[in-house]
Amino acid sequence: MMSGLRIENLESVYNKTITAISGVSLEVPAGRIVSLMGVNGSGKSTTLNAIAGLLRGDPQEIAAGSIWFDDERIDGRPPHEVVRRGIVLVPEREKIFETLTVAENLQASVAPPTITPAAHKERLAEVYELFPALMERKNAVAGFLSGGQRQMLAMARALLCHPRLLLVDEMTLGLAPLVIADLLGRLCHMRASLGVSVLLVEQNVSAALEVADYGYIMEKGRIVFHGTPDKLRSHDDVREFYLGLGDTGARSYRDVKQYRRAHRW
Amino acid sequence: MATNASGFFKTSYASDLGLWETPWRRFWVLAGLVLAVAFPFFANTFWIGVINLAAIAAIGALALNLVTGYTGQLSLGHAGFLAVGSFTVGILVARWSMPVWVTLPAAIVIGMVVGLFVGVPSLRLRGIYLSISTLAAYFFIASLATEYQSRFSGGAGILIPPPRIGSWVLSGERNWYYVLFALTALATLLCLNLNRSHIGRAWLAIRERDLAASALGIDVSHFKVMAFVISTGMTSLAGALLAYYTAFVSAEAFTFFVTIEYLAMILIGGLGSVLGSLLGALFVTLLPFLIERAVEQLPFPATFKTHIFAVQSGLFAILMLAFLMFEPMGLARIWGRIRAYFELWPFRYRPLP
Amino acid sequence: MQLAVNVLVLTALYALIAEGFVLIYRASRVFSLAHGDLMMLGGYVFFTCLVATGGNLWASVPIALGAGFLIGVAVYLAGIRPLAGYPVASIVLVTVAIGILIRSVATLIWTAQVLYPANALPFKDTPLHIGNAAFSLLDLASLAAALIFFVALVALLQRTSLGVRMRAAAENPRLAANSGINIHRVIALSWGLACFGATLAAMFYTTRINLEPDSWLVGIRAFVPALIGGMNSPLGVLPGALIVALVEVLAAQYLDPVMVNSAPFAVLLLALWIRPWGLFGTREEVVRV
Repeated sequence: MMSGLRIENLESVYNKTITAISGVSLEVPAGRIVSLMGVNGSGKSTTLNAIAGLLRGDPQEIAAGSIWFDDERIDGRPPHEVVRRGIVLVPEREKIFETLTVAENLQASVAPPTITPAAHKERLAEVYELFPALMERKNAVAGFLSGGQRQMLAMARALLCHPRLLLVDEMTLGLAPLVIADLLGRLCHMRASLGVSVLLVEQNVSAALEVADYGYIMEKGRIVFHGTPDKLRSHDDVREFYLGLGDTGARSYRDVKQYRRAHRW
Repeated sequence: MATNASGFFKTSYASDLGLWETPWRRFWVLAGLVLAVAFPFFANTFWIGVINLAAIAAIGALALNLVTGYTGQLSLGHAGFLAVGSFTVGILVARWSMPVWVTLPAAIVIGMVVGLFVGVPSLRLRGIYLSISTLAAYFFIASLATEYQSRFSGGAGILIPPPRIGSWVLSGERNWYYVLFALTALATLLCLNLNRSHIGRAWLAIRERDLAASALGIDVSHFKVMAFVISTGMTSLAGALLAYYTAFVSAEAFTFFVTIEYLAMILIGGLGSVLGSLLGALFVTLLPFLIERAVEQLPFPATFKTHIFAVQSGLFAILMLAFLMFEPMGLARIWGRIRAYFELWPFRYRPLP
Repeated sequence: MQLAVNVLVLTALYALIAEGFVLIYRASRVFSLAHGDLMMLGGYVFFTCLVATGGNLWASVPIALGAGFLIGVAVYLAGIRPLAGYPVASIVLVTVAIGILIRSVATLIWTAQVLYPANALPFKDTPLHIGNAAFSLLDLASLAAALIFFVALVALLQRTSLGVRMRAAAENPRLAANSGINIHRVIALSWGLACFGATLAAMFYTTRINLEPDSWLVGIRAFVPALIGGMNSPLGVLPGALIVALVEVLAAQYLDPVMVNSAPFAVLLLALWIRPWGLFGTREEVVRV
């Protein structure tokens, strides 16, 4: 199955005056987990929203560049069409329908037209197997689930759209380390058994690099560095600022960044 | 206030405190003032009269924008507060022949008291429920006004003689123009300064996310009520001025449609924008006159002429829709876009550093 | 007994129109002030159909209802959808403008004259008697229609996938779009159904009483039952309509017939003081569309 996401020189503008991201190019080959990392405000979520088709009209819009999936241009399409083509977003906040029950949440996902009802039923069974906690709470109102269960429901909901590419926005926020490890494991399992590619946006770089096949680092709206996890882990600046393993000691974040950035990135 | 599209570059504390920071802005404001002062000298009386109405409407629009645009509480009771001002003047003048320097402050004070009565119960309510509470307030005031009129005024309105201070009588469009201009300018300055102060910032916070605002230590109830009180006080003043200007007070003048007109003013002008209130008031006041001219001049079928009100309201609705669809943030945003275009030229938008 | 009949009929009328308010509020988070005018327009369309077909109900009813549905969808597509993302105040004003426009156009097309669609019906509406209460075939029909409408609506919302998706889109349009739901179709459906209900109510109201441009005032009063039941609750309109109808009929009977117009607002004020979000509504703040 040749499916791949390719972004070329994406640029997005906020309120027609402020540039949010510029010159962003990245690739997610089929069946791979790619991680997009960076601090707050670096433009990671904007990139995801651009792919998912949420950047239309005021106040945000795509100003230049293109997004390709399976050699088909998808930028500027409405969100439900993007889902129909196999790309599903698991948002950072507001990721489940609070007033619906767990079962209804899953019922709300629309499968692409190429999927038969039988295949959809099969997927539903697979999802319940993957997340047994949801099976137990099938008829509970989703608003009463805990943080980890919500994330599971969000991913389950996304899986029921039969995605070929999952866009996951900061799924480790607010979760305990054990739960994070569990969810990351499930992501790998999804990649292995269902062949789903993942574009993982994360601030938690160490967690992301555990599962990613490739990583991109964004700062202030641009991609500044990319490489395999080993390459990233051995890079001095990544160690310093994103992994907290730097050897420069107690110097202030700001001085070091200014000085070294000019030379490194 | 919207940020300057090409960036804000201030060089001193004094410029931070100033209302109009750059020399260009000061120039435009001055030019506008000069134009405004010279206007009555080259316009005919009819249009001066229209501008006078627009000035009174502007005071009302500024007031509405304070509570609805800035603090985010959609008030559907505006016509009621105008009525409060008008009827205060009417009652004080008709029964006790009070002079204008008593009735105007009285109108403001009574307006503020009414604002207190409307604001305090609405503390519990948010969103549409608050709007409906203001609507209920309007109905209540309107029925009181109609009651008064039928009992004490024989069903007709109250006639008001022109205001006099000492031996000087305020009459004639020109004289009214300068008085109203001064009052509107004062109201504008008041609003600009309120918006720049900690009160304005508290209002903005309440508009965006009042839970977060109260978590930051802003006393939401206090500022909400303050918004109502100041707004109704100003609206009451506008109503009082209307009473004196049109020399007539009647309950029929304060229909729900009047509230809609004022909402249209601030929406077409731009929610939360002082300039928007002024532009919107001008636009909406001018519109019926322009429509009337258009219907007279252009060939329309006969039914249009007989149902002239339907045509007027229909065209008003179409124009409102056009505005709301093509520029929902109003005239002020259009102005902002034009400014941004020139400020950023030759770039289309501010590039990344 | 007669009072009970009056209350029931009025409840049915209010419930049908109020349901429209609730559907639109859930779908677009807007309080549609155009709904009274939409109801009035539905009445005019029905009347025109009756006259044009010479009293043929089998043709007029479906055409009028279908037209009502399409008008609702058209209002959404033309007026509300382009304004997605803007402050609720703007959108409420759009509904006001649309209402005014519909009223003006209706006045220009059908003039301000009061019309009596009952005269165009193919049968004379003779009153039946049960006990000492008089009510007509039309009243019975209106009760039946309202009942069917509600049962069908609830079945749609609670039992079908489409209903789940409508509720999902009502709660969180963004997330719904991300789940592959075509939110515009779903929201348009809500608007169409709202207008359908209003037209249904109009058909019964105008044949029972009369039809004129000011009929929109009747429609707009129905927002009170919607509010009392809870703007978020499709089922809440039933008790809401019952309460308002009860108060109105009793007030007209025992206090003053003139109070009919202001009775709903008195109930409204009371409700706002005691329980602003209605009997079954959820507490919420205003969100952007």
